[in-house]
Amino acid sequence: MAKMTLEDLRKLRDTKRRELDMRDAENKTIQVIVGMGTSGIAAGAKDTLAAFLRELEEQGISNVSLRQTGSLGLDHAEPTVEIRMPEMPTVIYGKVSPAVAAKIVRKHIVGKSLINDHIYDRPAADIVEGAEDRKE
Amino acid sequence: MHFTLGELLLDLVQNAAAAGSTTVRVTWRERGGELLLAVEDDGCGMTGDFVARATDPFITDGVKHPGRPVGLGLAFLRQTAESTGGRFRLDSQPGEGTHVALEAPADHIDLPPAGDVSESLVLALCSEGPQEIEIERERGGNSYTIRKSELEEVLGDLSSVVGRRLLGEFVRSQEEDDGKDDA
Repeated sequence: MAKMTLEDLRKLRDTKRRELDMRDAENKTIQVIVGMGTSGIAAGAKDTLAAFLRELEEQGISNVSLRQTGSLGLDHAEPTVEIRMPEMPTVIYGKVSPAVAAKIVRKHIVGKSLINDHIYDRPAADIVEGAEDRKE
Repeated sequence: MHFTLGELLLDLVQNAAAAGSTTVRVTWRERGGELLLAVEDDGCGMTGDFVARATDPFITDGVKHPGRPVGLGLAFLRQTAESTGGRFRLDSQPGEGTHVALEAPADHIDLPPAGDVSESLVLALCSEGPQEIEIERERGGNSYTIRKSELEEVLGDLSSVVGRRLLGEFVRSQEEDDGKDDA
């Protein structure tokens, strides 16, 4: 394999111009945010991210921003993934294996229904503050 | 412990991003049987007192993991240096940035495997925050430099589905270059 140049990459992009019509994240209506902290990676977050990419391509969905972040604070449930999209509540899914990632694309993003047995969400702010108070 | 060098690197780049860096320079070089893995940033930096404690796994600045007093990236890197007879360096100045590096024998049995280098570099390039992430890579006779700004100029948003796919293809072509033209 020879190295691809930036010009090669530009030509490749042009062949997929229609898919690349949104040039920044602001235009994307759906955000998939994968926790890629130490514990997430140890639990397989890289495979999870790859599975999202694969399934989104297979479903022909391009209006998605596929982001990565550090720990979402739910280490016991890694890999964790936050989904933000219109007409659906923001949800943090946990224990997202590649198979669950594919299910999230098909059911949550396409079908607009929740996958209840993988919802972990964030703890409510008052619970977190209460825990901090109890430590002192 | 991180399983691969790529995971160690990603942790360091995430630290640099969390430090509010504008520019992050990464070096991953295997030359003459020696490995150099280094990350240099222009983020908020650390005080001398904090640098002295930064490789304690139970010390963190509280920014990356609010409420959770654990920070493993630098501790893992130092541990890798110690277990391979290599060298760990950490230089930092408040307001100027941080330079962290691992030097180690590339064939040491206790050195973690490189892992999927292309995948790790893509993940590093997609780290949010820094405007510029420059990666210098050298292995055997193959060397290349890639910059986030140039890739964004060509691909637009790297977090898009197609952008990530093309970025992966581009980085893999750099990493797997054998000097032969495919045509």
